[in-house]
Amino acid sequence: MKKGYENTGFEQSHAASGMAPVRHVRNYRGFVFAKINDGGLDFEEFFGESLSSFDNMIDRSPAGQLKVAGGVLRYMHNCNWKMRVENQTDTCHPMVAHESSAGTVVEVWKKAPPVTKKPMAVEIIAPFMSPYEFFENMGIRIWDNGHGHTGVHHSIHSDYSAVPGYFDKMKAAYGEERAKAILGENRHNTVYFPNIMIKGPIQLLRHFKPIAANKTLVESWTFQLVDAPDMLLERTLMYNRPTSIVGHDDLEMYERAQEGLHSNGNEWVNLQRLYSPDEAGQTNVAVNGTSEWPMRHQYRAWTKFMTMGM
Amino acid sequence: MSMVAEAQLKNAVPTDQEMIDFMVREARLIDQQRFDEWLDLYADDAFYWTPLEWDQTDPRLTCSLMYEDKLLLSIRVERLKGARTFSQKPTSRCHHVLQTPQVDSRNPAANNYVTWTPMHHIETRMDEQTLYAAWATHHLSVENGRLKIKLRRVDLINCDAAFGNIQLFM
Repeated sequence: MKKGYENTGFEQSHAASGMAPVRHVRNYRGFVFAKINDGGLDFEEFFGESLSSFDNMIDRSPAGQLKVAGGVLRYMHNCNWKMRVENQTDTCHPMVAHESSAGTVVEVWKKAPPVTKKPMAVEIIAPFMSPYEFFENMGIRIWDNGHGHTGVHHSIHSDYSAVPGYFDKMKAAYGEERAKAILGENRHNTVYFPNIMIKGPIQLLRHFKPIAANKTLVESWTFQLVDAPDMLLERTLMYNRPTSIVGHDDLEMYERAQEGLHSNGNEWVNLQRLYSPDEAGQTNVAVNGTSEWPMRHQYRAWTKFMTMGM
Repeated sequence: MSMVAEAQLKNAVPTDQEMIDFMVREARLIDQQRFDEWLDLYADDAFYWTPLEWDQTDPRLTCSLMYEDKLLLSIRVERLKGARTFSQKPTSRCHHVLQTPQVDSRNPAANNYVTWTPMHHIETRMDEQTLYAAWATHHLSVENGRLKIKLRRVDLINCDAAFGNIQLFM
């Protein structure tokens, strides 16, 4: 509608060029990343070696391709977004916070009549009850810019039973050695700071969206491995259910912690577990799986980006 | 607390009224948190399904809010009783308002009956109270003179909204 704008100086206004185009867009194997700010790090600098987790998730398709599938889940948390992000590499909570869900699964399964096959749900939930040593030895890797992943050596996703027909397809596509290498990676959670997490072995991406200081929307995207058996997507979706009893445990903890932060009795949250004075500046190192180094590392990245333009 | 014991069916084929009474009793068992008795209404191969998408047809390759067999339902019931179940300290309470259930189809030869029950489910814990509006579709069959649920499908009017914890059964 041009009428009414003649001789108003509209052509010289900020509005004249319409919506601002996003100038920095990168399509990485089907995942599209956009950067609105002209400053800051470019794509390669920002992600660096952490892209190997995207690679592994995509390589798990015999066709080297993922398809968004199964619907997008959204769920609301009355807590700060950082609690969700820190939780992704917090390996000291499962055996306590999830005792009610995973512990009950283990107990009920013990009493179940003997059947030939362990149900998929039991296989998924029971490993949350693994002992501290399991999580210590699982390892955590630290990359630049707050990124990192749990599950360097193994993870709670390691012992899922084989899906019939899948390995043969992988072998045909990649050769036996490469197929084994791809499926031998059992990275648990890869965090892309500030607000994305992916799970390669179960093809899932969670996006943490801050709504307010005490409100976070989580969007959970699931992917189908193109040319792989449907059973893999079925497992992904079972893991991903929002009304999952495992999710109930977590949300309760986030919301209690959020309430706790309202108290001025102690304003600090301690992230000192397995701290080492020489850790700042180190990158691509694998450390004890129960270290809080990833969280400290995220705050170092936060400080770096928040002060970049100063 | 009144016990409202379950009555045996009078005949091999259930009447509409018997199915309606069964629906009303199910809601009461949930509201009174008599979950072991509630679980007993389900056939061994039953599923409880809350779709995520409107008109969802596939529970396996499309995400659902809930799609659980009897083993998972029994785990859920056990968990609610657990001493270390922090999300139930204090416990949740719920309240159902049902419209009169309607019998959509009856097929005695196949031992399959389908009912449709519009309802409001209110769930509350501490100061929070949430209203869920839904339609429950039950697929029933008769086993040893008793009605059993084979599939309970709960379609929420806002199935695709971003929810927090829904801890009880709708």
